[in-house]
Amino acid sequence: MKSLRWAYALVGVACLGVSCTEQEAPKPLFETELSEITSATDGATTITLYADEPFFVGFNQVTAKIENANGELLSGEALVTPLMDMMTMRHACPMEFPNGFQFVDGRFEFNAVFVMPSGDMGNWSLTFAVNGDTLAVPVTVVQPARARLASFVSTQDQTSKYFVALIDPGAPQVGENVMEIGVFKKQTMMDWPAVEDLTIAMQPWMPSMDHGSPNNVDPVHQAAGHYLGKVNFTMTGEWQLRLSISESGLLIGEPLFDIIL
Amino acid sequence: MKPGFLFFGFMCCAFGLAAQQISYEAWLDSVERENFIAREILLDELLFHQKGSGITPGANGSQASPTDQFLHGLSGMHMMRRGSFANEPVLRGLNSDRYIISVDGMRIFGACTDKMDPVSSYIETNNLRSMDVGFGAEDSNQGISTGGNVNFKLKKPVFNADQPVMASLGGRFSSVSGGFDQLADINYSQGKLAFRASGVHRKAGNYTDGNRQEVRFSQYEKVNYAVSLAYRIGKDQMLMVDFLGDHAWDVGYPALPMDVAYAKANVVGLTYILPEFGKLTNSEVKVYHNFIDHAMDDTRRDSVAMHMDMPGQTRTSGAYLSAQIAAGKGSIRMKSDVFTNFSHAEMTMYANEPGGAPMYMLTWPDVQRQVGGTGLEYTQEGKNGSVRVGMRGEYSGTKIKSDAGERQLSVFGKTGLQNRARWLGSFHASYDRKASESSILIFKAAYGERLPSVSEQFGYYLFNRMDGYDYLGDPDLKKEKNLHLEAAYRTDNGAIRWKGAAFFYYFNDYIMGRYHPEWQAMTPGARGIKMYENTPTALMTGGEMDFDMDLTQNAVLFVAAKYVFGQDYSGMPLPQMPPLKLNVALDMSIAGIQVLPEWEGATAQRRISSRFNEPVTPSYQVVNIRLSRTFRKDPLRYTFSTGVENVTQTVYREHIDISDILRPGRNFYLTVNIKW
Repeated sequence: MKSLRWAYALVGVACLGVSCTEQEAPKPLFETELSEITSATDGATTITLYADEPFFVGFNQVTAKIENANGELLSGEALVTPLMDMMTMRHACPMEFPNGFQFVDGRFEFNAVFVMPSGDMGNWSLTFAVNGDTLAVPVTVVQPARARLASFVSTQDQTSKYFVALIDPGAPQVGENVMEIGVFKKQTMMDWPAVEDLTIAMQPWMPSMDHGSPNNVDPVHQAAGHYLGKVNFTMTGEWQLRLSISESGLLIGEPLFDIIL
Repeated sequence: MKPGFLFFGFMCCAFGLAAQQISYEAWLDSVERENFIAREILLDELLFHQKGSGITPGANGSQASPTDQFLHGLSGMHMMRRGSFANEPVLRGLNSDRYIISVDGMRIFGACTDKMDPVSSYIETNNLRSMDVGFGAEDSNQGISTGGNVNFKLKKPVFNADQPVMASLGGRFSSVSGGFDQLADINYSQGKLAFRASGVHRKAGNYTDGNRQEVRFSQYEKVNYAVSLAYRIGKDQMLMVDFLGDHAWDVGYPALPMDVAYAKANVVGLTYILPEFGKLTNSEVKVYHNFIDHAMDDTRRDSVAMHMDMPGQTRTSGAYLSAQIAAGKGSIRMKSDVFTNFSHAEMTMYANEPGGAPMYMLTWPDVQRQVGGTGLEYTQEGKNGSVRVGMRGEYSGTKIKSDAGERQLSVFGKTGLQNRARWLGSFHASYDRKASESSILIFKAAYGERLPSVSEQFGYYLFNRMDGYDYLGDPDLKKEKNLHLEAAYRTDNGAIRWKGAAFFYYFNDYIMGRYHPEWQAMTPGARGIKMYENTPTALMTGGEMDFDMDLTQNAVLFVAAKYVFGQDYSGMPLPQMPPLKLNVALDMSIAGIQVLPEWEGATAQRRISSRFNEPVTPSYQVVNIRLSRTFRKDPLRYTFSTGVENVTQTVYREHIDISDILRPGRNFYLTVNIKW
């Protein structure tokens, strides 16, 4: 489902003119494959967001339906800017536009890596710039029961903060699982680029029995900060996905994910 | 006293005397037997005292002796102990993965991934009539294997005996475990109908070893019940229904980290004995079904790293047709059979932290195996000898039926859902030649193959207490092949009978576990992971000899020896190879009392497999003394037997025993049998 079809453009990268319109089969109706998350309108444009599940802290694949006041599906160009407004400060989060910024028949796809939940601290919004019109869509982001985003500060420079999103396995199963993570760095409050030059070692571990599993494949960088590997779970129960992340041969962090299956 | 016995043992050895407590006329007599089996051992009580009957004098006079004790003394067989219950028969050093075990020709498979329930544990001596034992591929009609076959034949109802109702009652007490057994059977026949029922209850506490130490978790309790009904149709047809049930519970396995909560077997068979039809004789059709449920249990152990539930089950259904056809100067025996076997076993481990998610895996991922085959065996007898030639072809399919199991296999890049079809073939030939009026020379050659066992093919992290590794099956294992050569000699000059056999097995693709240091053990405390693989070759050689001699009219001397040598592809000893074992018994009748002193000894086993972390096993010798007397008071017959086993409190274990638990110390026993 979350296949690697990379044609990425990141926030702040000026590739607005690049056309990435591939000849693809017509996509099915939004409603049949995804759940509606939220909707907002400014009178002229209506934006409805769809996803597999309510937005959570971690890697979210989002499909937006963009209509005009008459309910007609629009085509054109769009850009989405995330914002966490915490009153005293504001920040964004990593964003991905795998199919570029052009959209047709009202369907626009992007990925948002929310780095904290909505709550007393502040609220998230996604601001859409569609064909010159600007519309902010408030969204609610929840902390999932099992963390799907881990962060760490580099043990080398003690300052750089990294965010690791567990993309796959989303629903881990006993046996072989495709493993995909996205790694991003907090450059500034508003700039969250992907990190592409890491070496990652991975070991699934069962803490209650003190053993791992055989034949895993360490995640290797594919594109745009996405690393792909394989993880094996030999039985159900509580596992940890232990990562050792190195940059230029030096270990910078060892985040882990708890996995229950 | 001990040196004396040792000297005696050496003397027997030095003279090259054959044998053991059991004699086994049937073995080399195969061509004369109704069933043309390689070796049939009759367990009929009437034959107990007869020389050359194939019955250990040690099991004398009492069907109350457990099956394990009876099997222990058989030629070419050793019993691997995991505790005092359900010992695993080992045929010439080969365990139950390598030979076929069946009951009345019905295929049955134990349901325990740790081999806690060999099929022999579901059979009792009071419903066992006889056993067929064949080595290598020398019997075409039991199935194809590399190690041989054991077929337990159940007792059948007797028609129109002298009295319409026959019954017996028995009991046995053993001091070493405080064990008490009761057994009963009844036979009834009238006209065309005959009926037999039997039942056994056995209960034992922990036994004490030669150090007078209690061996904890060696208790057991079981009941076994069998019902058999036969109905005659006309003169030469018969319909028979057999049911065998066995239920054991609270069974301790001191050699293993787990015990057994219950082991239940239900076996049912329907047999139709056909009339003669042209050249077809001895024709029989049978359909059968059996199911075994087994559950391991560790809740009684003092400290377990983690509590585990490990239930397992097998379901087997099958049918066969067997017949005999006169062909020229000889005759052909044939058997066509099909069976389907389903094996499921799982393991659930419970985390010690409260609220932790249970850990579950399929240790046998719903393995379905279907096999169909036909065997033919031609026998021709001449003036100076006889020839027997046989062959068998089998077609089999094996697959798993669990998606969860398929996902588990994906960890190793393997698949099991797709059916794996295999052809198997076996061939054997034997030639018996009269060497003199009273002696025969026998030459045998056989080739056999076998499929990997369910554990070898699909087992998933099965902990083996013997070498301390977790074992993984490999679905892509090839067939194991065995080329078997054997020479035997038999003589019987009236007062002295002796037999000897020397065998040579050469295996190709011998299935054995190989250590994978790159993988981590799953079981807490395990040393690592081994995956079964086809090793290039293995060879085994050895032999059995047995000898018995009339010393006087009332005294018979029995001497038996067995030995196996095994070597793997790298020249290293194969694990669990039994060293030289000797049994000597003197069966005397003194004033109407049968007096039977026995000596058993084995040499040390220093040829050990370091790959399997085998310990060196020291030599041992054990002395038993048995007394038995029968009184008749019409219409009843009473038999009292008593004796002392391991008189000298020898502290010992046999080399093939699992773990370091010791065999029982001194045991006083008393059995009573009343027959009507």
